[in-house]
Amino acid sequence: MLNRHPHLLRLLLFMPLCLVSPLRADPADKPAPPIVGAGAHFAWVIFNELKPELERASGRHLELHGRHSALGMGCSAGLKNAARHSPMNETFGFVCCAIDDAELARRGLVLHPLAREPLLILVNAANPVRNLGTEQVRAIFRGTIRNWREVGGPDQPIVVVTRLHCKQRPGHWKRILPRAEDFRRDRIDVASAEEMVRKLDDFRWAIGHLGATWAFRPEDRVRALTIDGHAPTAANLAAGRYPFYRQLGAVVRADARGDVLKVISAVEQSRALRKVARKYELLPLTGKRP
Amino acid sequence: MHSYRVKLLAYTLALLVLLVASLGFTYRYVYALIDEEGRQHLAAMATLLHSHLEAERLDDLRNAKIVARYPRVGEYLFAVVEIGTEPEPLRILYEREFRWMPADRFLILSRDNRILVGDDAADLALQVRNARHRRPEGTFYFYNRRGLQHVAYAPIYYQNRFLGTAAIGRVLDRRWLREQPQNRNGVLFLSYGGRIIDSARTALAGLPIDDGATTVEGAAHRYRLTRLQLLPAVGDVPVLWLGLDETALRDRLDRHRRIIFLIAGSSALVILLFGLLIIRQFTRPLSELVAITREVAEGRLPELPKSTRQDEIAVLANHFADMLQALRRKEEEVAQARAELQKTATTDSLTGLYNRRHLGEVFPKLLARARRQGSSLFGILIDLDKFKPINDTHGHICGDRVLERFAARLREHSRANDYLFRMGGEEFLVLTETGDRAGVVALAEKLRQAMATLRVACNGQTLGFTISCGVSEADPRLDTTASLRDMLSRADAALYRAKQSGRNRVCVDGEAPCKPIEPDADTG
Repeated sequence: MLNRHPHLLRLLLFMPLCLVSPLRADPADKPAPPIVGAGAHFAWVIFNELKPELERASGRHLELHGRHSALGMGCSAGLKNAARHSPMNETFGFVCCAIDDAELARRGLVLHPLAREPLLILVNAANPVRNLGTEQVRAIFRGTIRNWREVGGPDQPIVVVTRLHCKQRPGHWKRILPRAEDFRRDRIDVASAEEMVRKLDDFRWAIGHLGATWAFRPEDRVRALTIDGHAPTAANLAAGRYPFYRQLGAVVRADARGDVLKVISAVEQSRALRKVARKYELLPLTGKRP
Repeated sequence: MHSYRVKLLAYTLALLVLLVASLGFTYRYVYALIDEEGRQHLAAMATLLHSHLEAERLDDLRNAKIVARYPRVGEYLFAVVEIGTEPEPLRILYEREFRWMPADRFLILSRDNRILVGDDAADLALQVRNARHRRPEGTFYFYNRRGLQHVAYAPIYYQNRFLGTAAIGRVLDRRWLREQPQNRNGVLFLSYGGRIIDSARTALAGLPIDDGATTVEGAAHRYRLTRLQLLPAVGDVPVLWLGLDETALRDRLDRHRRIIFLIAGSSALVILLFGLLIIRQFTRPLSELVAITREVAEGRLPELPKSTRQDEIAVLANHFADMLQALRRKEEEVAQARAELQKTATTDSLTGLYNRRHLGEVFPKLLARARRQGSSLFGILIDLDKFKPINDTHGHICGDRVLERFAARLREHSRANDYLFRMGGEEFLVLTETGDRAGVVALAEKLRQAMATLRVACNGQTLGFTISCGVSEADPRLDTTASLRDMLSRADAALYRAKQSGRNRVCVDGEAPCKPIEPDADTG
């Protein structure tokens, strides 16, 4: 019968082809959403510098938030962003504090320390003082030294500017004085790193503190002091000669799988991190020390 | 008629007065309306300006609060006040952050009354220092050598500590006056000490003004004023005035007045023309009627042409014309009747000659005329000879026919200006006025001869007769009655002589003998 009806034969052969038609969409063809990283500016700098390399390593697009810690960014934002991670929405966070294990456990997160960042002791560029001792710095922030004359400077009152954020976490400004209550009360407490720079710029006799990765502008009239004769460099940090620093890191959910871990791993193993560290005088905490 | 015309004129004038009065009232009403509108406009402008001033006041206060509550200001002031650093950063901050503010003067006064920001601001600082003792924040106006100023101030706190006061001030100068909403007819100005110290229009500056003024004049403009309160004020501050230019208002009124005058003039002219037309239309036919009635009253009955119009006066005039026509007809009938009567009274019905009564009427006139002309009046008294036998023989009808033919022949042969009378029976008189006595005698002779040849057919017979004539001249020296009586008497005497002389002859008074009978004459 088929010999007598060649059209029927052709029809029967065509029907299975319809079942495997390419008209049906393959889910794998849909572009994957970006991996979103957010948090403190100072760790954001590292990821932002390494972004092309990290995207190549993970095969995913990266969306990073945290420049100048704007839009509410900061360590807490980094922790919250990491906790939002899901297989369909991969996230991680940037932190500028050494988050303790208890908080990490409570939040279900894992900390990946990346680098140690010098904490600059900044003064106005017009200030003739170039160096302070560690204890002098602490005395100034405590308020026991209140005039530059006492540290070899002009007879001008010292204006202390602080940014005492992440008060519940260790490290950071606590390398200067361990508790907020220890700082002199008649100080100016600013809400952002940018504001810190602005105050130090405006007040010729001010003193403040800021992470080394801050992107200073050429017109910013501020200068970092040497402490005990040591500049805030990675080498001095490594040698333990510079006393004020903090830890930059990334946080991910403990149950995170997939590409976000590739990103973190790529940072930790990246050679480019060394280059970024040299640029910002960071002391990498992963792989081989510079 | 005059009173009627006067009434119409009075009505027209009354109408004009009414028109002018209504237009005057309209003008007054428009004036009041525009005046009220101006008043309301001024009030509305004042309200608007009040709102604007209040908005500016609140804006200034809000700006002062923006400065005072700006966190960095607190921080910087803290550094200055609490830490004791130099105030320069505060000034830099102020320059950087608040240069945009619409203010002429800035001040940050520390709690210990140090001027931290503000150049040459000692006066402002003094006022703010006093003001913040009364209220921690607020606004006020004050006046000094810089001019009228509005100041807003607010306290600066940092860490719940009062550190100082931020104040901003605006100088309310001419530029400010010009920037206020006052529209094109309004003007804002400031007065102090009874004199205008500044104005949005320079022409007003320096003019005197007292506090209760309602108007001010300057540079050919007059302004209606309202006074605006500048509160709260510290010390003695200038008075802010809002003026509404009444010149524009007056111009509008003048425009209205010109229009009203134009309407009034043209309307008055139209009404006057209509009035005159009405007067003419009504009074002309009435005047004509009055003139005609006057003529009628004077005894004339003039022709009154009929009108084709159908109005009441035309109908009245036509009726009057009809009445005149009827009167004329009646008068003609009366005249005719009178003529007939006259004729009957003065003529003899048989012969048609004047009767004796008429002699008494015309004689004085003829005598007077003769006297005027220096001529004489002659009477020819004629009597038919032996007439009684004719009557007796041939009957009275034949006698009457003889008399008729005699009269006809007498008319034929007498002159046109002679008067012919039948004195009674067969006696007749011819009165003729002439200076020629002989001519009169010749006339009498001619008549005698004419009668002698006359033949009258009656009852199949032919009758002939003769006449005797006595001629006399009226004596002009006598009065008319006496002269007539005298003339007739003497003519009668001459006639008598002619009869006595044999009849058929002419005798002249005072002449003897009588004129003899011509040979061919028949005797009667």
